[in-house]
Amino acid sequence: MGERVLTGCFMLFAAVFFAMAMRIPDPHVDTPLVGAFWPAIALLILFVCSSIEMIRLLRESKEEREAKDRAEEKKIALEQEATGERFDKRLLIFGGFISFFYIILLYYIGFTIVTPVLMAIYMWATGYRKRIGLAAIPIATIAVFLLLFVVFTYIPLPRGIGIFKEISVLIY
Amino acid sequence: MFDNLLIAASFVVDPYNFFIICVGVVLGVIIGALPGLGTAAGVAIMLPITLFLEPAQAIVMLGAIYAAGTAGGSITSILFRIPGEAQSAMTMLDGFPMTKRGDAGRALGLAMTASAIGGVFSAIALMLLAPILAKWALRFGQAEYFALALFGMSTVTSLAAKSVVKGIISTMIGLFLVTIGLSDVFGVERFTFGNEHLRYGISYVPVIVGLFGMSEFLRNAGTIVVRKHEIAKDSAVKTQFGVIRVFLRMKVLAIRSVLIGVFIGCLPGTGGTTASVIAYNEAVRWSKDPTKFGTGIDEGVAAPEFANNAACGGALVPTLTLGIPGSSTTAVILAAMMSHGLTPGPNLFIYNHDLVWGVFGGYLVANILMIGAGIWGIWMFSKVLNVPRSVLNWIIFILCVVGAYGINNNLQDVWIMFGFGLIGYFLDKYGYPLVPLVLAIILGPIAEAALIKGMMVYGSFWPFITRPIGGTLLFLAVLSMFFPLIRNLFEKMKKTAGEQI
Repeated sequence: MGERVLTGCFMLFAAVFFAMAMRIPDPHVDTPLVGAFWPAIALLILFVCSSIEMIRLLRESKEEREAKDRAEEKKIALEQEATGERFDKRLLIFGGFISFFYIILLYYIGFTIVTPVLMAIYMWATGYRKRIGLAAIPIATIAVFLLLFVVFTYIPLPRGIGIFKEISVLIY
Repeated sequence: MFDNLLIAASFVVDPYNFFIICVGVVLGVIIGALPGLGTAAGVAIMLPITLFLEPAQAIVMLGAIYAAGTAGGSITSILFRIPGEAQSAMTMLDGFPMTKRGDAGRALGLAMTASAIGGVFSAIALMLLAPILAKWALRFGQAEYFALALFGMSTVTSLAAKSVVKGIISTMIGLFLVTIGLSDVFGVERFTFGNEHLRYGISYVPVIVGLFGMSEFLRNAGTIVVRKHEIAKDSAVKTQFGVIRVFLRMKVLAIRSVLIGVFIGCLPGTGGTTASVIAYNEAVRWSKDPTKFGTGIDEGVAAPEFANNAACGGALVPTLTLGIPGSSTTAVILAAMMSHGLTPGPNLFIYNHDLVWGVFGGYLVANILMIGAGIWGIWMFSKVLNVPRSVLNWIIFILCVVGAYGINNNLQDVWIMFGFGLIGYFLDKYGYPLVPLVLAIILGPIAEAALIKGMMVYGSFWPFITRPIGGTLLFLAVLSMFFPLIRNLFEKMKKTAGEQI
C-alpha cells in the first residue's frame, strides 16, 4: 500500500511540476534550447517511469503481494535474529516527532537547553533507565558539542529568544 | 613524478595536516565499526564539519574516514557476526568462526593489516592511474562532458538498484531538484515561487546530510536492541601483530584481490561490496582446499579485506579525474569537493595540482596509519559498541542538525535536511536507491550546461553522436541502461539450458 502511495505521489509531483515547467519564461539570450527543456525532460521521464511502476504494482495479484510480504517479513526476521535487533514502529514515529519538535524548539529555546533536555527524554523513551546516565550523558554531550562547534569552528548555534537567549549568552 | 611525490610528502609532514589524517582514521574506524552507520552516512555527517578546513585537508579527512571506515566494518563482522558495512559481510564468513574458536585477535589483525595493504596499493594505483586518465580527459569538449555525465548517471542508475525503473525515478528526482533556482545558462528563475532562498538553488550539503545521515537516524530510531552481543571470554580482542608473517604466504592471493579491488572500484556504481564478493569467490576458486573456506581460515578473512579497501582507492580514480563517483561514499566526497569550490575532472589536475598530490599523499598515509589503529585501537573501538544505541543515534541527529545549520547559519537548511531525511527514509524503505539521486544532483548541472553550450557551438545535436569519445560514451550509457535486461536474459537462458540438461 505504502509503495503505491509513494509511486502515486511521484506521478502527481511530476504532472504538477511539468505543467509549471511549461510556464517558465524563455531566456533573454538566443539559445537553441529553452530554460524549461531540462526540467521538462526530467519530469516527463519521471512521470513515465512512475506510471510503469504503478502499473506493475497494480498488476500484482493479492496472492503475489501476500507472498512478497511474507518473504520480506521472513527476511527481516532472519536479519533481526542475526543482529539481535527488532523493528518498533512506535519508536520510529517517536524518533520522527522528537526530531521535528527539536528543530522547532531550536529557534525558541536555543541549542544549549533543547539539546540535553530532548536527549534525556529520547534516551528515557528508548529504554535507558539509569538516573545518573540520564543526567550526565546529555550534559557531557552538550559540553563536547559546544567545545567542538562554538569554540573550535565558530558556528553561532541558535541561542533561542527572550530569556533563553540571555541564558545562552552566559554559556557562550 | 618525483616533484609530485615531494608535494605529497610536504603536505603530509605538516603537523596540522597529519593531525587531520589521524582524526579521519580514528573517526573512520569508529564509523565503520558502528553497525547502524555506513561510511556514506558517516562521511555525509562529517561533511559540514570539513567545510571549516582547507579544501585539501577536508578531502583528505573524508578520504581517511572512507578508507578507515571500510576497514572498521570488519570489527563487528568478526566479533559479533554483524557487518558494520555491507562490504564487510564476506569477512564475517571466516572471521566469526575464528572468534568462536578463540582467535578473534588473529582475525582482527589479519583484517586490519589486509585492509591497510589493500589501501596502500590502491593509493599507489591512484597516483599512477589518475594523472594518465586526467591527461586523456583533457581532450574532452562539451559533447564529451555531456556524454560522460550521462554515462555516469546511467551506469549508477542501472547498477545501484534492483529495479532499473526505480533507479531512473531516483535519478529524475535528482535532475529535477537541481534545476530549482536561477539558471546559470539562461538567467531565468525556475520553480522558486518567489522565495529568495530558493533563488540560489538547493545546497548540496543539507540534501546529502538529510538523505544519508538523517534517514540513518530514522532507521536506527525504529530499531530496538533486544539482545546484547557478547564476545566469548576466551577470545582475546587484542590484535596480534605477529600475523604480518602470515601475509608472506598470501602473496598471490593479495595481488589478485588487490587487482580485483582496484578494477572493480574504478567502475562507477559498483564499489567495495562487489569487489569483496568477487575476491572471496576467486580465493575459493583458486584454493587447493576450497572446503576449508567458511570454517575460519586466514585467507577467507584477508581476501575480502584486501579487495574492499583496494576498491576505495579505485573508486577515487574516476571521482577525481572524471567527476564520476565509483561508489556511494565517493559521491558524497564529490559533493564535498564541489562545496569547497573544486570541480572534479581533468582540470583539477591542472589548476589544483598541489592539492591533488596533497590528497594522494594524505590518502596513502591514512592507509598506513590504519595498521596502527588496528593494532592499538581495536580494544577501544570494540568498547564504543557498548555505548547505548539511543545516545549514538541522538549524536548522529545533532551532527546532522549542526552540519546543515552551520553552512549558512540558518534554520531553513535544517528543515531542508529534515525533509530530505524523510524522503531518503521512504525511498530506501521501498527500494529506491539514493546514490543515483545524489549523483544526478552533482552531474545534472554539468550535463545541462554541456548540452546547451555544445548545441550553441556545434549548432545541432549530431556532433554529440559522431565525435569518437563522446559517441562511444553515449553508446556505453545506452548499453549500461540495458545491462540489467541483458543480464536477466542471459540468466534465463542459462536456467533453461540447465533444465534441459
